[in-house]
Amino acid sequence: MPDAALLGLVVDRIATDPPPAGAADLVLAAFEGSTALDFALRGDREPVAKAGMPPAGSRSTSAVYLTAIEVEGFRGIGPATTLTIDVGPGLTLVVGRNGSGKSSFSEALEMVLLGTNQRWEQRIKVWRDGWQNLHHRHTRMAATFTVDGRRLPLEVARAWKDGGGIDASTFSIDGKIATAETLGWAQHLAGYPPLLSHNELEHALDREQSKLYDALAGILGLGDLAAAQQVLRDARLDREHAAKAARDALPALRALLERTDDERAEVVRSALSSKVWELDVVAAAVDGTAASDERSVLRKLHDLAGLPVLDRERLNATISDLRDAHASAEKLRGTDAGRAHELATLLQKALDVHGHADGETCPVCGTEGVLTYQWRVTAREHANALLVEADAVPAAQSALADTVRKARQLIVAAPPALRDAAGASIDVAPVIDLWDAWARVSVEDDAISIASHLESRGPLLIAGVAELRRAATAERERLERAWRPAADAILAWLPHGRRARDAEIEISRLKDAERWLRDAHDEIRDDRFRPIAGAVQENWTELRQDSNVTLGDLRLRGAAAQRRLSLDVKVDGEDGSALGVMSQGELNCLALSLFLPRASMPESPFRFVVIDDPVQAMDPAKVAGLATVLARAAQERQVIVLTHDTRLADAMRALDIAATVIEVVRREQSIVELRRIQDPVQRYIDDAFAVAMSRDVPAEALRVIPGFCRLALEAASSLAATRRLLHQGKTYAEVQATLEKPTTLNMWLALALLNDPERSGDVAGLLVKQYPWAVDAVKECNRGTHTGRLFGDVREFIRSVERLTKTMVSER
Amino acid sequence: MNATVDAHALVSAARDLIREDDATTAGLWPRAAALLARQGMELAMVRLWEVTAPGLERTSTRCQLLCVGDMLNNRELGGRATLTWNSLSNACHHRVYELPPTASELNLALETVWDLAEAVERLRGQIHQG
Repeated sequence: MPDAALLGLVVDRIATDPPPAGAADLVLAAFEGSTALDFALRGDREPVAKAGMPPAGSRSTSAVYLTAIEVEGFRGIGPATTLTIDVGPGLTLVVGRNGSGKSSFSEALEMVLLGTNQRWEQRIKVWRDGWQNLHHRHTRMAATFTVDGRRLPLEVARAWKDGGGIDASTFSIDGKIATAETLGWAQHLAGYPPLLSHNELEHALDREQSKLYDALAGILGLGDLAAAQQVLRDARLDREHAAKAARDALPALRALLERTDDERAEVVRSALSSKVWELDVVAAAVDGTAASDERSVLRKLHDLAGLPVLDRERLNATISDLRDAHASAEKLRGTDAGRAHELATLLQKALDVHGHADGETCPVCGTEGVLTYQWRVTAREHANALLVEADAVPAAQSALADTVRKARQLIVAAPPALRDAAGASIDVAPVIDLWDAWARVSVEDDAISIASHLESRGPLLIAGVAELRRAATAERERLERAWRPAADAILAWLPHGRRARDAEIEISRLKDAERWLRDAHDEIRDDRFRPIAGAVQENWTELRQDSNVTLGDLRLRGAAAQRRLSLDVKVDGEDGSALGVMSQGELNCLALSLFLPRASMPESPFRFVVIDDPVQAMDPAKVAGLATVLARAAQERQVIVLTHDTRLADAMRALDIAATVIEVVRREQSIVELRRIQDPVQRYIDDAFAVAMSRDVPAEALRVIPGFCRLALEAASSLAATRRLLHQGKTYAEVQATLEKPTTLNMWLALALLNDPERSGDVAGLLVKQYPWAVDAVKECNRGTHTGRLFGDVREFIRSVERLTKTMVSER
Repeated sequence: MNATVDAHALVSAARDLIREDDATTAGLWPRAAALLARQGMELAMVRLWEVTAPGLERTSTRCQLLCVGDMLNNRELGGRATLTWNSLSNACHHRVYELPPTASELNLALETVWDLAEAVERLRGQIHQG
């Protein structure tokens, strides 16, 4: 699931600065991964609905504060121990020696929030095996948060069974088993990481350029943008690879085609030599559906194989029809059909006339008694016979003519396929001759001569054409056999070719998308980085203190393999080679300078920032700078800093920075104790009182009271001296150097009261003059610390010491 | 307050402070144990000078520590004593950057104090017999 805010920014840009046609879908699909991109390239994907996208910057910003971290049975912590943090902006220092268990709290928070299978997997085996506390095998970690809009605190916890593997934890929210997804913080945790482990701090900048870029881009929360670019790039490379494979296979295919003696080989070769392969032509040439032209040998052979063959039965029938018709006509030869017709007509008329009149006298010759009934019968019979005779002759003539016409229809000229067969690689001349002879019939030829022509030429033609058809078929088969290997090779290559052709189109779309996204990435990155770069500058100025390294323009540049962090670093005003010139302490400062602005982004719901041991490798001046930087961050955030010594706490006290200090001490059996300490002076006084008032403490233990009182006086001297020296304009580093000088109580008092640790001999006199009520108390401190003996009222003694510490600290 | 306390009793008291999970001493026990350990060490050295070099207890602790190994004829123990004294002093004086010692550091220091006290008492016994 990509970062919604980031995707929202990209969608907005698509609207205002649209990428080339077809690239927008690819850009959006790339955010969803390579599968979605493949779909988009095939056009199978609905474009991402813009209405469904949250606009940039609108994300849930319910403020989340950290209230407590409870740890049980993890690393240095045995029985359950709770680190309680005040809700709201402010600074909390968790101070403890290495091994006291303080880091276990930040690691526990990290494990609760981020799970065990991320960075923990990379831990060395020793760590992975020893993560569970030796004295306490039941492991549970819980972080409690106050979330705006939620009445009750939110408890997120992980628990492990005894001896269970580190990966086998049970996650729960408010005591109910759940998954980290339910919490819905993963995206924010990645975008605005609120935890900075010491390891990260140490190595954040200790890497090659691209890794540095990644670390910072990670801080910027642009990981999804880079990932989308990578998806596009991978898709393009994949297609370029496919296209190249198809191209690389071509020379072998061409060589095979050249060796193949087939007209289709030439067709395919020319189709593949054009700039854009004509793959449909290639496919048609192979599967036989090619619309080949008249000059095609295959077409000619195809036509020849299908030449019309004269039907032998029809030929024979025609010949006998001709002869029969001729015989019928011959039989009527010499009869006078015309006269018979006239006579029949005359007799019919006579019968008609006689029908109207009476009498037997012939109206023509006047002979009487001839036109009798008998005459009428005979005349009618005669007329009918004459009429039949008159019809037979034209029928026979017409039948003969019809037969001849049908016979002539058989005799057609040679078909064009035969005429155009030149170049068809088989000899058609004999058949053409046969056909020409067959077709050679005169108009004058009568039925008998036509019948003879058919009889003599027909069978020859039939045999000749049949032979030619066989030859053409055989030739076609021979050509197909010779073509097969090339055809198979083309068929095998064709899918690659198609894929390559599609790929070429996709590559150009992908390149458009890549180019657009790269520009978008650069601009979004610069936009996001600008305020951070400003804050980084500010932090660096504070942190660098007396460092001779100045930080100029800080930018992220390039992409993919060329990505890098561009750091304009100057050493004593001269250009330096980026990070190479910086010490580890300076690198830590820079890493912290980069981390804090990111974690303090208003978009982050997390109002807490946990930093593990930023002080290591820092000199005193930088520690003072760090205190200032942290104090600034603490104005808006709950800043929790774990640290292994008191330098940071000392610096804050000296600089009057309000902070809650929690001291972590680990007893035997991994019992970890946490104590809130307002200031060290009061802590020692409180410790002295605690021992003095206790009934359970053995008598020997009372001997520690003068020691605690001396510690209180020394701590008060240190604080008073620090404040005065800073007030006098000394740098923090100079103050710290001065504070290393005193080795005895009197030297401390000399530093605090006389501004010179070497004047310890004058302290007694000064006390008598200015603080007479404290003279005995100071003496008791000096002597009693060693002997453990106290004279007089113990509580009165402690009260005098407390009064002196307060007097020293309040005086300037 | 018991004036006749010996170094071994102080070491035992310190060990109790470290070991016992007690709300009263929570957080303060590391420095308290360090203070007792150092007092134990000073006590042992005073008893050593009593029988070997009276007056040495008035010199600086650094000077006294240099003599411990020779007087006991055990340079190894003398070296350990010096290291232990330094680490205990860091815990018993206010030092910039310094946090209370850890339980294991204290146990190590207490072992040295115990050994030192034992060596001193053994020497005193030999001298009294001789």
